[in-house]
Amino acid sequence: MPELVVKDLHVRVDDKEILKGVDLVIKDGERHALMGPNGNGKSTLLAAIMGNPKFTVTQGEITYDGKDVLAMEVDERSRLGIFLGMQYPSEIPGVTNSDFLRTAINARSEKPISLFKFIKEMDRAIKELEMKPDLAHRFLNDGFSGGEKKRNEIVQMMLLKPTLSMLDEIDSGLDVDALRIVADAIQKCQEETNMGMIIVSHYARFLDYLKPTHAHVLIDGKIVISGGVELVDKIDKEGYDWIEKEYHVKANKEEENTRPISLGSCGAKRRGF
Amino acid sequence: MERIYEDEFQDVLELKEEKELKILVSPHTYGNMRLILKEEGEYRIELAPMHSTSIHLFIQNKAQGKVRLHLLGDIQENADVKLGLLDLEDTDFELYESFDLKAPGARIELYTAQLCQDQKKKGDILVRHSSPYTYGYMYNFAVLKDGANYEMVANGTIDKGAREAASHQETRVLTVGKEHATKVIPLLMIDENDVKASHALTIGEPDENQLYYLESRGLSKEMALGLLSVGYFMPTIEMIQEEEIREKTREEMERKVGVYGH
Repeated sequence: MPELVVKDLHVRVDDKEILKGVDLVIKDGERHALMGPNGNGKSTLLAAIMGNPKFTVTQGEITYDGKDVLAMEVDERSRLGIFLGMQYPSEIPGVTNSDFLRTAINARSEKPISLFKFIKEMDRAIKELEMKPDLAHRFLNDGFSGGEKKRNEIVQMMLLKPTLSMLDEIDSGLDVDALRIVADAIQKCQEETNMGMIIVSHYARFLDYLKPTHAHVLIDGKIVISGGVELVDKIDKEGYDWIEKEYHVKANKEEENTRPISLGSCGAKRRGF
Repeated sequence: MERIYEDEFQDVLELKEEKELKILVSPHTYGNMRLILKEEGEYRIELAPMHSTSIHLFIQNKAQGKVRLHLLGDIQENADVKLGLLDLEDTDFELYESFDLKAPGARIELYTAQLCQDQKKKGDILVRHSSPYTYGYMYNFAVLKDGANYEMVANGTIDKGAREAASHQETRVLTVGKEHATKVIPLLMIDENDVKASHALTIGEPDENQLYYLESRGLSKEMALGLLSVGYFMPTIEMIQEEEIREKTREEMERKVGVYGH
């Protein structure tokens, strides 16, 4: 049974220390809600586990299934079974969803997936997420609405079948109906694969659907309190102030992420001048 | 060698010893042609589409030595030409294209897609608008690996009196290797007021966020760079009419840009 173990993790971005000693263990089948005010390290933790080169691990260790994750490249971590559903997925014009996903599936298996099987699995994922049927032929996230991008992350998760899935605010940009559709797809995927999960979300409704088995609150780069689903309910009702008072911590009030602005490709159109 | 086409045609030619070809297309004829350059040397291909014709011409370089290719022609009234050149070979290649849009309604779309590694690829393309209501488009795409040297001059010239002509061009160069050199010169020479003209140009490395995104799904760096390169070749490869050949060519391209890894 693969197990993610994070020990005393310290992470810097540029010259700023964001994580200041995080300890976390995730086992198969568990759903861990990671909560906390913006700017306190939730996305940084997930990015560090995935291996985003912008984040530097200065201390601590991460192992998955007993293997040293920090010694691995990003793609190796993915092939080990780790998946990160991103808050701001990249737009990649010129690369179709189907080409991308087939390449990604083939990268993790010795034998290439047959076209028939791929189409079948892709169609199933598209239907479950209630996306437009032309998704396979569209360029990767290019021109997608915020909600479509998030659903597309889940389509990828369903096809890549990770053993550990980290979802970084995958619910932002989704309307109420879409929230339910995405939550159902995630639940179904976990039932089929028994993957471990870390879910970063600010919305109690989303966490209500997903029913976390564990919950953690990350403030100022440290997990200050862990518990079960009752912790999610309490935070939904009372916010984070009580934690700051009770545990003598002060939340970083900075914005965690500035949404990148895509300028797209060059202004000249290719056709229809 | 001379080829004359009437009504409707579909043809495939491999050019080896014979390196000169004249393609005559009779009025009201349409069709497509695939040309393969098999041997090194200097080729000269002349297009002569008469009025009200429609031609798709796809040329692929398969020569294992240096090639110099001259493509030229006069495009007549309401003739529509689409011409693509695919060059995936690890050899020097020089391209000289010169087309004159001679009569109203004449239209040409030129595509080049080149993979460059450790050799020189040079292009010099001219589309002249010598008549009103003419349309010229030039799309040049290149992916540069280690040691590549790529040079492209794309010139849209609009003569005096060629009112309501449209001349547009786009050059995209993706650099995925080290120690490469690129020179791209877009030219618009306009001697008429009532026209539309534009050029777009990008030269650069892949976006690091895009690379990270692809790698986070299990693609090695080589595969990720390869996948990002695919879009540079597909508009030209899609010009191949025969499905089987198109898929084979696509596979060849994907293998050469690294989509399948080692």
